[in-house]
Amino acid sequence: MNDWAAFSRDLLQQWPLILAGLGQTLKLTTLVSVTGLLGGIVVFALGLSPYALVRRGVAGYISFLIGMPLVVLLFLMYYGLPQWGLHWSPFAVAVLGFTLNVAAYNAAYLRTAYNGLDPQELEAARAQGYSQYQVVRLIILPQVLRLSVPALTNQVILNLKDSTLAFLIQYTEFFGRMQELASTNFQFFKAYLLAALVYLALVSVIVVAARQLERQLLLPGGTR
Amino acid sequence: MSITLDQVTKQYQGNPVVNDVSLAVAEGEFFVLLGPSGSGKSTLLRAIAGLTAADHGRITLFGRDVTQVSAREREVGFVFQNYALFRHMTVGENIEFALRVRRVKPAERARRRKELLDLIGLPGMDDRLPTQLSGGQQQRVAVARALAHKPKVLLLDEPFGALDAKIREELRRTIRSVQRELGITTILVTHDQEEAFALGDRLGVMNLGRLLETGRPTELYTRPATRFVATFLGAANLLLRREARSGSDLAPARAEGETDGPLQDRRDQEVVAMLRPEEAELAPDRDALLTAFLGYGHVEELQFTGALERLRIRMGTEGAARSGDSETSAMPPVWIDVSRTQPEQRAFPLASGQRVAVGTRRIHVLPTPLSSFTVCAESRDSAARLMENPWLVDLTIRMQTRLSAQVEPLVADAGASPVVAPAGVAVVTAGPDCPARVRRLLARGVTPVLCLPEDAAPPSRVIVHFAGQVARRSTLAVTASLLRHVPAEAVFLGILPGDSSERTRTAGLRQLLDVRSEAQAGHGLDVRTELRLGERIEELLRELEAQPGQMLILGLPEPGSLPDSFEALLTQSPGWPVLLA
Repeated sequence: MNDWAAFSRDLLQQWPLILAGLGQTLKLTTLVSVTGLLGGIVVFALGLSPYALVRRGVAGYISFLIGMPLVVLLFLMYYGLPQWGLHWSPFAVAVLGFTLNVAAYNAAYLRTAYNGLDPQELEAARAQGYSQYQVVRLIILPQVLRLSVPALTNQVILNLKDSTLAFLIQYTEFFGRMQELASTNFQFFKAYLLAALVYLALVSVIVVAARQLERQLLLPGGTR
Repeated sequence: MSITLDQVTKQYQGNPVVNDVSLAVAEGEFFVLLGPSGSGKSTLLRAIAGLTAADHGRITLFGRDVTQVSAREREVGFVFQNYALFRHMTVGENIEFALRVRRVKPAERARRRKELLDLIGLPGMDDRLPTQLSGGQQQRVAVARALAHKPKVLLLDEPFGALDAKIREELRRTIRSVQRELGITTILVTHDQEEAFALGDRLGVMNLGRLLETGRPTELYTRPATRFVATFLGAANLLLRREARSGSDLAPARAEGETDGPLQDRRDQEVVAMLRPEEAELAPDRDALLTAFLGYGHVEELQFTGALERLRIRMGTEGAARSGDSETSAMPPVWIDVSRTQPEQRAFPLASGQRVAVGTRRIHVLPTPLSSFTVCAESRDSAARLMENPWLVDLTIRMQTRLSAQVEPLVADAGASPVVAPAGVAVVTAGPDCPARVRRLLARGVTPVLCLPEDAAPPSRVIVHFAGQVARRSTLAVTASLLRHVPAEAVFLGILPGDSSERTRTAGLRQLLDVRSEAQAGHGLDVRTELRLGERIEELLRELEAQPGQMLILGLPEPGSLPDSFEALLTQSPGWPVLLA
C-alpha cells in the first residue's frame, strides 16, 4: 500500500515535531494536574471557612466554572482579554484556564468526600484542642484526599484528554502536530487513529498508576 | 466546684432545648445526666464542652468563666457515642495526637501512650487501625484519647449506647475505675437508669430541656419530688389520693363510700402518691394483708421475668385508689403494676383473673400541688370543648394524671346544687364570664384555677407574676410543678409603680431575686427575672399582647379573692391561659 508508505515517510519526517508536541501535551497535563489539585485543596479549604461570605464566594466560583465549557473560558482569556490590553502566551492561558477549571472540579470532589466524614470526628479533634487549621490539615485533608483518589485520578485522565483543546488557542501540542501531519498528506483517518491510540496508551498508564495508588491509600474496612 | 452552670439555655428554632439549667458538680465527682431522648441532656453536655454555644447563661470550669471560650481551650475530654476515632490513624496515633498538637516531646508522648493503653486494658494495641478493633475496644481507645491531654473534666455522651449488654458492663467497670484512679470530674449522659445508678455519685434527671432534680441515686429513687423522676427512675404507680384537710398527711387511704359524703364546701386535699411495684403487697383478702390496705383488684397480666414476677392488677371501684366523683369522672380504670420475688410467689401463687387485695408497704407522697385537672363548666358542651383542648390533653398525659369534668350552673343561687368541690386544678373557660366562674370557685376554697381559652395553643413562654407575697410559697410550688411539664421559657416578672423611689425599686428587685432563689432551693427550678416599672395590669397586658403563645401564672394578692382590676386579664379575646394560684 502506497498510502502507508507515504504516511510512514511523512510521520518519520515530522517525528521530532510530533515528539515535541507529545512533550508539550504531557507538560501541560502534568502541570495543570498539580496546580489543579493544589487549587482544588485551597478552594475546598476556603469552603470550610467560618465566614459565610467566603463560603458563598467559593460556592459561586465552583458553580460558575463547572457551568462554563472549558473552551469558552480559554477563548475568553486568549481572544477576549487582549481587547482589554492583556496579552498572554498560549501556554500561560492554557495553564491558567485549565487550573481554574480543574480546581473547581477537584474542590467539588473533595467537598463530596467531606460530606461523608463523621462530623463527630471533627468535634472530637476540636475538643482535644486542635485549631480549625489543624483540623483541616491533620484530620480532614488526609481522609478527604484518600476518599477522593478515584475522582482525582479520573480528573487527571480528563486533563490529558482536554489538553487537546489547547491547540484551539494556538498551543502546539501533540494533537496539533498530528493535525499538521494529516494536512500534509491528507491521510486524516490514519493520523487521527494514531493519535487516538497514543492517547489510549497514555490513559492506560494513568489508570494502572491510579489503581496502584488507590490500593495503597484506601483504608482497610472500606470508606467507613 | 469544678463545673458550675448558671441558667444555661440553648434554643433551636425558638424552642428551648436546654431551658435555664443551673448545676454545680464537685471536684472528682461522677455526675450522671439522665433523661429520655430529646430531653436536652446531650446538648447540655456539648455546651459544657464548647461544641455548642449556649444562647444564655454562664459556664464555669474550675472558677474560670469559659462561656465564650472555644472548645480547644476548655481542657475537657469528650467521648462520643459512636467513638469518633480518627480512622486514618492507628490507635497509638489517635491517643498521641492531642499531645503532638501541644508539642509534647516524642519520648514523653510514648510514655503517656503506654500508660493510657495499660489504663484502659489494651496494652500493645498501638499499631492497630480503629477499623480493626471491636466496638468496645474502640470506645476504650476513645476514652484514652480523651484523657491523653490530661483534661480537668471528662465528658461522656452515651458512651455505651452502641455496645451489647456484656461489653457494656465491662466498659462501665473500666470507666468507673479509671475515673476513681484519676479522680477526674466526670459527667456522663445516658438514658439508661440502670447505668446511671451503677456509675453516678449523683444523678440529675432532665426532661423537656429542664433539669428536674439532682441527688444521690437512692434519694431520687425513694423520695422523688416530681412525677417524671418517679416514673423515669424505675417503674412507679402514680395514684391520686384524697385526704381530709384536718387529717394527717399520710392517713391511710379512705375506704369506699367515704369520698361520696356530703362534703359540700369543705374541700379535701388531693395528693399524688407514688407506689413502687416492689412496695405493693398482694393477699387473698384484706385481713391477710400485713400492710395498709389499698383496694381490691383482679390480676390482668402476669409475666415471669426470672428473678421477679411482674403483675398488672386492675383495681375495682371498691378500692379507695379511685377517688374521683364517680358520676362525673372521666377517669379510666386504675391499673397497678406489682413485682414479686420468688418467695412471695411461692407463698401466694396467682393466676390471671384472680381477685386480690392490694396493700402498700411504702407510699411516697409527691410534693406537687397539681394533682389532677377538673374542668368546671355550665354545660356538657362547653366542658367537652375545653376537655378537647390539645394543650390541656397533652399536659394531663405528660403529668400522667386525670382530666375529669364537673357540670354545674354558673349562677351562684346558693344551695341549688351543692356539688363536691372539684379536686386538683379547676379549669374554666376564659372569656367574659370567667371572673364570675373564678370567684365562685375561689369562694369555695378551690385553688389553683386555670382559665383556658378553648382554642389556646401550647404556650412557648410563661410569665410568672406575684401580685402579693402572702401566697408566694404555694404559688411558687404550683409554678414549679407546671413548668416541669411545659417546654417553654419562663420569666419571673416583677412590676413596681412607675413613680416608686430608688429604695422601693431596690427592695422590689431584692424580692424578685428572693423568689428566684426560693424556687431554686425549694424546687430545683431556675427561672429568669425581669423588673418593670408601671401600672401592674397595664404592664401584664402589654407583655401578654406583645407576642402570641404566652401564658400567665398569677399569684393573687389575697388567697381566695379576685380583685376587680384583675378581670381584664381574664376577659381578653383572643386570650391566653391564666393560672391563678
